[in-house]
Amino acid sequence: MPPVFLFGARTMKSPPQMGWLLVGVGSHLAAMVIVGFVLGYALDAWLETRPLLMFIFGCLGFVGGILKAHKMLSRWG
Amino acid sequence: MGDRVLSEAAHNSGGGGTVEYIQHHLTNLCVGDCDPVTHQASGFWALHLDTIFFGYLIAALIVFVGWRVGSSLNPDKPSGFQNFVEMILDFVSTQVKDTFPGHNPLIAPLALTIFLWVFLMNFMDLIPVDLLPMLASGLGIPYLKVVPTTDLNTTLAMSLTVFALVVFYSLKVKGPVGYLKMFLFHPFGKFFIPVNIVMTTIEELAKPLSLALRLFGNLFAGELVFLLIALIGGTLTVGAAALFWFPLQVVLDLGWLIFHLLVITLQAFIFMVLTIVYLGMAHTEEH
Repeated sequence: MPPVFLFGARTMKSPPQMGWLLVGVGSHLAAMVIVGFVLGYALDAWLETRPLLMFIFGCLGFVGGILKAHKMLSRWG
Repeated sequence: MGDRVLSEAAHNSGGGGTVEYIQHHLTNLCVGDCDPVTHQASGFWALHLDTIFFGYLIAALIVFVGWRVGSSLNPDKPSGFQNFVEMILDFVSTQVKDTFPGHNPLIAPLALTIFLWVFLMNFMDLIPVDLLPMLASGLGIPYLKVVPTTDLNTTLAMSLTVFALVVFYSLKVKGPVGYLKMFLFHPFGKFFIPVNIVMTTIEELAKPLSLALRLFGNLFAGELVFLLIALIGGTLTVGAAALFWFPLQVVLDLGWLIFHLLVITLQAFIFMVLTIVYLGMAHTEEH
């Protein structure tokens, strides 16, 4: 039984396999922010520039997450 | 429902033992670099023996059952269990056919393994929360966390394996140059190459992390709710109040159990299907 209800019964413009990515939009956004901060933290520890990269990468992760979520969701908008 | 029985620590301290009870149930059996007081990992070489044991036990069960079914196949008169296994195989292979664009003989077995393994590891959550830890404490094992997927190590290990496969197939299909191009020019075009590299790296690393966190979060929360429901009756079973609390606990536990059956199936399914999708994206030229 494929749970079709998860992404509605609209017609899909892109190949059907992309529809399943919508299940993970929320957690992908959260994960991108986390990865941004952790990556920045690790690079800061290496280059001794704390808190500069942590802040920049965190912001980039957030912006990228929003962009990615918007891109994924607007295909079905 | 064996949920009512409290652990020894909680029992000794009466109603105030709820925190100890929950903490006790959420502590892994850690060996190696572990903190002697909190029993949490404090170094790299800390092994969660219970997670490893139950994970491999379930894997062995899948292999054993698969071998038994495989050696007694009957195409003319399939047994009930053979029908059931064929139904699962059919379901997974349909899913792979629908979502995976290319042809790769590894994907369907991988998807089936992930689905069965994650589902059965999740299924350990439906065993009454106190049953196995109590049996283990009888054998002298102080801590036991029976659901391997409530340990971030399990889910992260699985998703990192998937991630390694994604990188491998991306390099194989797109070539090292094509894969690097994706990092250089992906969200903002050719004038923002440093930003693009960082952003695409973050995006790629977020895939395994979100896979792991989703499964871990759902199962951990589910386990916690089971523990809280177990506490309703557990702390108050003395005296006449039990007449009220015990039926409430039974009803709540049954309700959450039935709902959780849906959650564990759905989480196993989502982990499987996203694995197929990510691997499918690695196999296509356009990102």
